[in-house]
Amino acid sequence: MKAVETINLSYAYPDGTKALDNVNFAVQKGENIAILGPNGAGKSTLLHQFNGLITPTSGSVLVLGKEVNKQNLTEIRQRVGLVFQDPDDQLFARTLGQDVAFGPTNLGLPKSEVEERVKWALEVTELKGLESKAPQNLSTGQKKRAAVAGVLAMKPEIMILDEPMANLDPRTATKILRLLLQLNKELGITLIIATHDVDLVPLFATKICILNKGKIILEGTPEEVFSQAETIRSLDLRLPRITHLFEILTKNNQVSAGEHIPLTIGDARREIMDLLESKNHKS
Amino acid sequence: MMLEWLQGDPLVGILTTIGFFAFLIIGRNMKLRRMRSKQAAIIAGNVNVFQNVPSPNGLDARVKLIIAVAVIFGVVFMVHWQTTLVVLAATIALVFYSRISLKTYLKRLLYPSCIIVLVAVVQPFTYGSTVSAIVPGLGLPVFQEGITFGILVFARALAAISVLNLLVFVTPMETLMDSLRWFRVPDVILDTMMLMYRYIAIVSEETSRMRKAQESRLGYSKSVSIPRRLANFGTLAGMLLTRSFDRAIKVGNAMIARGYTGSSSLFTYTTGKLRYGDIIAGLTAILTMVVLVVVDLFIL
Repeated sequence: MKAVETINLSYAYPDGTKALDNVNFAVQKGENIAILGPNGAGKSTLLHQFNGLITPTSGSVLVLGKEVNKQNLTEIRQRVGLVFQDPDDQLFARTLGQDVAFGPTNLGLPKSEVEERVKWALEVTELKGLESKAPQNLSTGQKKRAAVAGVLAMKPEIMILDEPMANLDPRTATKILRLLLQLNKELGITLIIATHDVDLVPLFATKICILNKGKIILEGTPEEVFSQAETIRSLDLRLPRITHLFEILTKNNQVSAGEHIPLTIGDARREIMDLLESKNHKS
Repeated sequence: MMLEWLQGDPLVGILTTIGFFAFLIIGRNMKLRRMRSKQAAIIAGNVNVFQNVPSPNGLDARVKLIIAVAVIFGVVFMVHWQTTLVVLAATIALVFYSRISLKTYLKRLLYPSCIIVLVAVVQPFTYGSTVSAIVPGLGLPVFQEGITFGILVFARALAAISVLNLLVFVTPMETLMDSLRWFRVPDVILDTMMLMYRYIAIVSEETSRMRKAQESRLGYSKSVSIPRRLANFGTLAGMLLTRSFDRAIKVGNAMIARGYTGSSSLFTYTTGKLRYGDIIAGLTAILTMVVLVVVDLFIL
């Protein structure tokens, strides 16, 4: 089943700037998709369409088979959670606990259910014990996790995250990534993540979609997309470091990386071990 | 405070309102700067940088609020500037009693006082009919009634803002909001104030960042002319406004994304049961103020 689908989706800002141009995009339920693109490509505009924050100028958006319209916005927003890039945009309440409770309360849930969900969301995001802390007193990493908790408490089936790893130190970025993967694996939540971090993309994405000037330029598995090095570079993006290294090795040192281009350190390690083994065999 | 606009002298009302908001903004900025200078990272501890000095006597915030309002009303009714000094003296005494740094308290009082001075200084030239002197060289008449009124306006406003300053000092903002809710202040006003309070730190940080960016490119150096410096400051203020607007849209979107429809309150406000001791303390303070007003109006 398709979690999100757009059909001939176009969107223009009130000043006439075309942000999305005839976008046809689909994500299967349970998939992890990365939306890559340079600044101003239309990533955030596309994400906001999935939650019904903005409505298309033409075309349509379908969430779990239902077309997004004014009548079903509450249902759509419960099923599609949106985590904003800057957590300060999202965390406004007096305490972390109250902020996490904001979404479930808006869903009209009974107090006991709201409390239960807050407890659960804080536990999952490892923020238990910080309920009474003011959002402004949390660290950036904690704020990011708090923003995820606020959306998680609404028990969404799809989670959209705008640059979740931006402005984080490597350890915290990895922690956030692990949390997201855990949400996908254990709760089956479909993840749609807009990011610039090409090195992290192969670690979580089952599919990549590259957006430029409001149009989808490339789409496919990480291997398929990152094999199009020239197109990627023409869009002011780059290959993952590991892939770039193997590209140089192939070009300058005639070291063939085999059928699959390595995208992660794990891939590279396997490739190097195979190369060493075959070399040993030959000698 | 708002009712003050409806009766008597609107000038004091304007000054008091300006003073109140000036305290909130200046006070929090000062605290934030102090925290930064001590390198006490906000993220590190459980300390809320906006947490105010707790009142040592632990008086209920609702009682503190009603006393402050009563004192402001009383001050507005006073017609002798000397009587307002009694209020000012009592406030200073409470500053000592609450173990608040007098220096910080007076610093906070400084900025609104400048505005009050400005307004008071204008009065002798604009109010009254009895000319008591002429400004040499300019031929500007100085009116007797204006001098008296100027002093009275200054004294009233100073007493009123000193009380509000103390209130903001000894009551955490959240508790103040809880108390206002208890007094049936509409949620929409409280929610707006809470959001302003939540984002003051971010606006302050944004200002600091932009200011540093300007300074690093010699925006305020001595080599730059004063009009240019003022223009740079204007650009900063304009950018701040634009960014605040942008942030407001983003915060609104984030709320809508989590199902907010605008039909319910954003925050929850809670208050405990009022203690008899607090009620008695409040009534005593209000009664004292009434006596002071009566003395001012009918005896002096």
